[in-house]
Amino acid sequence: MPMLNVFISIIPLLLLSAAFVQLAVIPTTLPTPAVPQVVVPGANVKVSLTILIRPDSYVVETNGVTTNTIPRPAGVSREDAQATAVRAQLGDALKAIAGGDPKNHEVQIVAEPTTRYEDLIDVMDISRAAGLPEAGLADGAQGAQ
Amino acid sequence: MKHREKRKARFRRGLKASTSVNLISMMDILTVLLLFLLKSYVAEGEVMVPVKGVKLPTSSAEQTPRASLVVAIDGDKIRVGGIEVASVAQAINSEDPIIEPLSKRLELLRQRPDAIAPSATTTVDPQLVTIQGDRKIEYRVLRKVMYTLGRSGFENVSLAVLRNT
Repeated sequence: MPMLNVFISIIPLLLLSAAFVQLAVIPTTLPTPAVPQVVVPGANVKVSLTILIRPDSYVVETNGVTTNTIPRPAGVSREDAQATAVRAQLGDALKAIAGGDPKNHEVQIVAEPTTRYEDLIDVMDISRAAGLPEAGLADGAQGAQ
Repeated sequence: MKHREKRKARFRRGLKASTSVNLISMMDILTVLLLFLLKSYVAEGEVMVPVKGVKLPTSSAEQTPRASLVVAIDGDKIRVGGIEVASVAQAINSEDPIIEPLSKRLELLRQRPDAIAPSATTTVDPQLVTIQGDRKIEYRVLRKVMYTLGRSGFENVSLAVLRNT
């Protein structure tokens, strides 16, 4: 049965090279210097939202003013209950800010040089869930190192 | 005694008949499986596969990737389209915000956009780059890679992730 032989050779080959892992992409902008926005009192300006990823905390800034500082445990895996609670806290803080300005979908994420890529993606996910899908990367004071 | 032997002979005959493989139904299964696999290959011709050695972070993102140039960053190396161009240590230790070997390779690809396409039938956005970064890489490496991409004219950058299931 030469036909059967061909089938038996082709099928494992196709199965081995088949892509079973589902990939997705997050479009982002190239890192820009984080410039603090000068706000004139009473002027109708767009809210500039920034999340700073520090080794020990997440800092949420609105127009350059710190609105929330959420301590994050160091050396804890993403699946840990403590880490999940911190993420939920950050999500709630972002939702509250995003709810106040529904037209704003942008957020700048400022990371430190040693911030891990998975932490960046994590913050992007939290922002997206909070109604801020347009996440861009920005350099902080040490970000350009 | 006769009865027992008769029974044994009947059993052996039965055994012989049942051991033959029904090849027709097996061929049917294999044909269906083969057609299904070939169809999924044709339909998902532009699908992106994770680069070997790179453990992508998981995410709730749902946007499907488009065919593009892939820059992979694992623990040690930076690769463009599967070709190693620089080491991560080299990128970290350099004072220059641009990774020079990566920049040179990107320049070359900018001049020959047909080299980016994975196949002749695939259309690729010449300005789009997908970064497949290992979950453990540091932002300073990612930043330098992104800065180099921007300076080389690749301004649409996407970050590849594994979809949360």
